[in-house]
Amino acid sequence: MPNKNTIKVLRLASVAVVALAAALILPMTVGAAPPSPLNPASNIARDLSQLFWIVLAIAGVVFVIVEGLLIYTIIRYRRRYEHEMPEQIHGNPTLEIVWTVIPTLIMIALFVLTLDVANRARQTPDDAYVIEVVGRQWFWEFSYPDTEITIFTPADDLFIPADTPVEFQITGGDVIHSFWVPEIAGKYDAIPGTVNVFWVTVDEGTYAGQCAEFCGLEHYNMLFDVRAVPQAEFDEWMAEKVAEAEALAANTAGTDLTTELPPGDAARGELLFGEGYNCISCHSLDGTDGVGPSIQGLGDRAATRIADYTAQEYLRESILLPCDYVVAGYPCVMPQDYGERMTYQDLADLIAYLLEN
Amino acid sequence: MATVARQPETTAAEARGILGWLTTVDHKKIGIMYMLSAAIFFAVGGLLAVLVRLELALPGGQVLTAEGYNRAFSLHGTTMIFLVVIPFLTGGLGNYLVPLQIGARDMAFPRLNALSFWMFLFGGLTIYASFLTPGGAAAVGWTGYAPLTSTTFSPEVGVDLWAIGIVLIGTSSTVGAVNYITTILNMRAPGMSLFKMPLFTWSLLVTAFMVLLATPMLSGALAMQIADRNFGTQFFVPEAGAPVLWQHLFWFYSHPAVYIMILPAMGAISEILPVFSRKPIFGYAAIVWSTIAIGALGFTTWAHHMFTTGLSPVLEAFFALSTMIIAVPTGVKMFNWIFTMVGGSLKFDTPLLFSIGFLSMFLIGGISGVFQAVMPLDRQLHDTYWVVAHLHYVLFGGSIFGGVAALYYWWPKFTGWKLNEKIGKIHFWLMFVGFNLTFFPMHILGLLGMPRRYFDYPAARGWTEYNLAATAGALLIAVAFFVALANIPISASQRAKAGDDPWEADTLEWATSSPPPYFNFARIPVVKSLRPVRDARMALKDSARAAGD
Repeated sequence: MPNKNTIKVLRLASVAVVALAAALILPMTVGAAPPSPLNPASNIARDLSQLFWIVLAIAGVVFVIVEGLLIYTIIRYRRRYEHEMPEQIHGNPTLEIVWTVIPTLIMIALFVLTLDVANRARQTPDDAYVIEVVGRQWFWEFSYPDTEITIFTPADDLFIPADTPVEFQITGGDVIHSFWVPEIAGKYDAIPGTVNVFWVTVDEGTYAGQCAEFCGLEHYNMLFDVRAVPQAEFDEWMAEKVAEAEALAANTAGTDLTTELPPGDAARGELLFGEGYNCISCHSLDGTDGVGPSIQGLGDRAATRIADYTAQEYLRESILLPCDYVVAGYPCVMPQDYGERMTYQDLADLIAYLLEN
Repeated sequence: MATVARQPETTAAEARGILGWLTTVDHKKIGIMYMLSAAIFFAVGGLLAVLVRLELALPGGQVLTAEGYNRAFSLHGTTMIFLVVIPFLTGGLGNYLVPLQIGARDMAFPRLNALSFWMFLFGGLTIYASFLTPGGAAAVGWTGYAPLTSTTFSPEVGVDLWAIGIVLIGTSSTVGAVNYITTILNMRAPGMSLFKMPLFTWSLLVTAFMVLLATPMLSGALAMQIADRNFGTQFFVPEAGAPVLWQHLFWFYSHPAVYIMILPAMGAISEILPVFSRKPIFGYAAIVWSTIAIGALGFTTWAHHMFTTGLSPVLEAFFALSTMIIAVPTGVKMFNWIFTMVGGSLKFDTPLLFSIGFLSMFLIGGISGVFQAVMPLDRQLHDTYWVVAHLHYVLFGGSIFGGVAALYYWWPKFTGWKLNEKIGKIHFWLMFVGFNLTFFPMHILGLLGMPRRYFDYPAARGWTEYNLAATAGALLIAVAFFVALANIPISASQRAKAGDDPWEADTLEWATSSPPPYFNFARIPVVKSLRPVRDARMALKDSARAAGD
């Protein structure tokens, strides 16, 4: 019986070893493109990836020695006959010193290596291009202080200049999030009231980013792409954004509740409600309870919420000044800056769409 | 050792039936109630895990909504840690075994002991009562990070019930710790010096000190959170207080809690390995000192959970070093356990199988933990499925495998009959394979960049196959659980009489009848060595041989 079991243990162990080997090779070869830290595309990520392989090599040796000793022991020392009575050994001071001192030395070596890599990541070059990151429920806001441009996910990708040091300054707008683009760097938490900073020089390419700190209902839905492009292409993109922003600035709704709106286009409003401003992540279409109230039947309700308000006036205030009136039972966590991001036309289209619901 | 005579009747009359259980102050009955409650919570927490795994099997929504998913993983973590592992190992096994192992008649404070149990049970029920409230159960993770837990972002009363429930459980642990420490330090049988104490009792002593020093920190932090939510204080509010303060307070308890959850399991296998090897434990003193070292160092590593929050370079270096150093006493134990078996005569009964499962799985969990101590690398591994794999190799591969080994080992002590060995072995292999199938692929998922606590993921991320494998493994673990459950009535109907000492054990709990009488020992035994029951058995054999000559 013990014999059979030990063979099973052996068989399982070999399966585990094969699985381990496969595990290490697969990420590099599989067709889909997982955002793996072991597929580095920046100076920082290359350091970390290399560090991983070094630690894995040490860990692998330790694992093979200890697990091997364990498997050898359970095969070699199984009970052979019922009254077998082994020698009663209580310990061995020499052995115990050996297996205390050697792991200590390994750990000290590992610690020195750790400090070295950590220090290298900390020294930001003076000429780094600064981008400010704000994590919000459940999107990212990226600002370029040089040009005062701000973009938002999921409508925009995060454009950065490739092969240039970029410094990210990260904070949280509501709860704690964590900014993570595995192929270019580790995680930096986006904590309200605190700014975390790191810098990186990224290879040209597109990289998947995500939130790594649980931040509520749609934590899983804060995905974005980083587009590291050559400087010329970056400048071109930036010029476009600046032009767009100037056009918008001349025509944003602000917190103006009185100016007459242009006629609204409900079809365009539907797009804005979805991809455009991502309203849909908090306000469901079908009556499902979300972070904010569902818009199902909103057209009928809108005129009844606040006395003396028409449906249009109510919706306009609810979008531009969302915390002035909050539907009972809901927190006011809706961003209050839509007025700065929305033209009169966007606002009119959105209202037209909402009235149809 | 003095001979033990049966005590025909006890002096204190215990009520019988249900009332007897509800009013009992007997450490054995309280221990069984802890274990039974933990087993029920294990089934519920396991069901939540299966729901989580079913949801993640493939991209797209499967069985839950995002909200339901967030509730499920939050409650799964809370349940397994606060309502399963800690109460089973400490409250259950500890309660039942510590007085027996040290030759005492009960705990030092029997009524306080009963209070501990009832506070724990009602704490658990308080958390689950949140399902009945309008907002539903809390969906803030078992970690409840501020400011997500503020009323602005989580207005539901479920978060308050979650916090109050954990305060109750924490208080129950704290008074329990006082009880264990008092009992172990004052009520040992004559002759049992601290260094003649069984290793399971040693592990409980160190665990109790950790609980006593760490748990009030958690209770205090939760009280601050409750005050923030209900009384307008601003401890963890970004504008006035510090959200990161919560993390420091929370992890100051919750990292030691990892050792609170693993030390008793280590203690249990330190009892099992020698018995099934027919050898004394290798390096008893080294294991005791390692246990103490882990207990002390366990308080110096908490901020390694916070390497991504922006600690100062000096703090980062300190917590990286302390985390690496705690691997040393852990490694010492590993070698001592293996060398207990080296040169032994191993009998592969179910308790030994699960103990070997513990050794081989905890080894992987220990090694993967060192990766996370390397703080620049932790920025890549933190909050990914790598960490989910690591923590389950420690808490499932370690604590649960150790707990199940203990259950099979001490079951004859609790009941007087053995669990069926054949079914036990099937249970082991199903659980061992299912466990590895579930959690090994999670290392890979982490290295492929999958964050934890994600309700859904796009197929383009390339995570699907590994998630599917993990889900299949989870179902296998569920099968293993039902096999183990079926073993109880089957074995009960067979009633294979175990006798008082079915495993040729070493320690005092086997010196009395199985199950033990109300007063445990008619006469308090006198202890002369680490293995009093073995000494008595050998002496008996010698005299029998002498008589035969």
